[in-house]
Amino acid sequence: MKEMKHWTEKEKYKQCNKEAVITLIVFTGYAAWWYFMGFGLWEAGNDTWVFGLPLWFVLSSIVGWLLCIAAVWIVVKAFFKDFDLGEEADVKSAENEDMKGE
Amino acid sequence: MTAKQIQMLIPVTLYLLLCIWLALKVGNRQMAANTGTQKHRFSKNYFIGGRSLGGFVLAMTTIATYYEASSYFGGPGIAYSQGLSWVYLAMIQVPLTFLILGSFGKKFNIVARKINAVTIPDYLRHRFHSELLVWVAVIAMIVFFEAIMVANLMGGSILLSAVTGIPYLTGLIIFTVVIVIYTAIGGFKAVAIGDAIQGVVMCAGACVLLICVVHAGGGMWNIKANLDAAMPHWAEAAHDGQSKIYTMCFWMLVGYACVGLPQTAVRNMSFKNSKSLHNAMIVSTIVLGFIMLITHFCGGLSRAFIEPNTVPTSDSVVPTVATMYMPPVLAGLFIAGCMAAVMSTIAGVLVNCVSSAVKDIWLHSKEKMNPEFLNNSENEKRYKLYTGIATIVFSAIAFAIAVNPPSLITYLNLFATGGLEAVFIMPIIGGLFYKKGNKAGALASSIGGFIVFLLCKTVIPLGDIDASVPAVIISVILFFVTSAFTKQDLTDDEMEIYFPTK
Repeated sequence: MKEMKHWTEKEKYKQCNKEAVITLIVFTGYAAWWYFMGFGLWEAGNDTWVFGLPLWFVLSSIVGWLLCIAAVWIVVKAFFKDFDLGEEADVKSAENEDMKGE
Repeated sequence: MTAKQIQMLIPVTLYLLLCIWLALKVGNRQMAANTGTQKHRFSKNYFIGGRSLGGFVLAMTTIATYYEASSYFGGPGIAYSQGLSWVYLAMIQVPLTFLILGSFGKKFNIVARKINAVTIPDYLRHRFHSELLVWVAVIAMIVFFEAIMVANLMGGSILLSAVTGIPYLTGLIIFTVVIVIYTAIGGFKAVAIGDAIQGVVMCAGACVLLICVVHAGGGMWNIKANLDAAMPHWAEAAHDGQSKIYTMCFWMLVGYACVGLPQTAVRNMSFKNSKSLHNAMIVSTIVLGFIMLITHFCGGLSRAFIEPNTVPTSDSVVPTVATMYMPPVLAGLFIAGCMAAVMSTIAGVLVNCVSSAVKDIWLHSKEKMNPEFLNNSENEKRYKLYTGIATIVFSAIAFAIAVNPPSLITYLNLFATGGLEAVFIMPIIGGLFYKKGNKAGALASSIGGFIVFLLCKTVIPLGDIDASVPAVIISVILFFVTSAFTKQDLTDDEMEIYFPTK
């Protein structure tokens, strides 16, 4: 097993901010795909049909959803980091009390 | 009651019994779990499930809380009358749980551990040092959550009586009793696990529904031909002068602003480790998209073979399809899924109502006078007792209102999402990410945002734009501007919790 890296508090928070930005990018990316494949394609007057459904709907709503899953999976695996979220404050202070007692 | 209705009731009854059994099992184990010192143990176990949620349960409980019960039949009902444009609009919500969990979940969880927070007001009190803000938060939550509870109780009972013939009042009693039992005994963890089972039942139900609808319509191309005849605009992305830029703004802002809903935000305090969060982000995107797509899509397609004059209201389109075209036992399973949605939404907000009143107000006033209040076992018993009583009282109020609902209650429910977003978004998100964010800024954004929201809902006409859009924009501006020009109230030690320098 790989040794877990030790994270300082500052590094953890910085990583959280980075993950927040990536989340917003993916969300906005999905919205853009949804918009241009949906309203965009429909406005352009595309009249292709797939399985009894208009192409704009298939691309925006069905393929869009599948792409969203893929995107979430990729960013979570590639950019989101595992680290210790820290101990409960009350457990920590109770331990400190014990240490003092010894 | 016909033989068909009795067959449908079998899975429904089994489901309700399963809920109660589960609460008993989870509840007893969870309450005994050793998750900290005696002082905090009960709060942590009851209100936040001992911070032990795994990825799958976290995903399901976030979806169930976000996705209101009425969306299971309300949204598909609109898709029935508007066609694919509504299915398309609904799909913008697919990455919302990903957004809620990914944008601030990890940071919020870390902070909550450091300050022992188990409720949103716990965090607000610590971050902003403002009793007024806590009171605003608590009152907003109790009022809007009661409205959500009443609306869901009514919706569920109406559905149950339409499909199975159980009278409205009996339905109300069944829902209320089951919810009280499993919430009072099992707390947050039982609610969360109930949500997970509900999600699985819904997914299974949605699969069966899709097969039945396509089969009943005679295949996709046949359905297309029938829809072309029944509703010529069914395949348009927008119609009826629906302006697409406003729709876009509305959905985007409703989407981004959803991170401010306290009942979903509190889920971010409850997971066990970063792995749970990562898994939940993937699982929730799959499941939310699946349920949303299939139920709305089926609602839209069923217009091909169900005439509008055969369904009483648009809400009952999906249940009607279920009872007419599904085998009775499977239809029962689907109805059980809908009931589960109703109950999980109610139970989710009920736990929040109880924690606000009992923990954030009563217990806090006691602990202020005596910090060791809960180290006395008499007092701890009293705390548990009051939690139980509050659970019963809040559900009894919702029940009483639902028996004879005043028209005001529908308005309150319509106001709930936007109102909660306006009050909570900046204190929660701004407090975590903006270093200068302070008490004055939080108060200004909550109160200001809410006033703007009320004005836009009542006096100022906005046309296509939803009132939550200006309200959220104003609350963002108020938070940044007010915070920038006033000084920080936190000490350096406290700042170190939110913005560590080492």
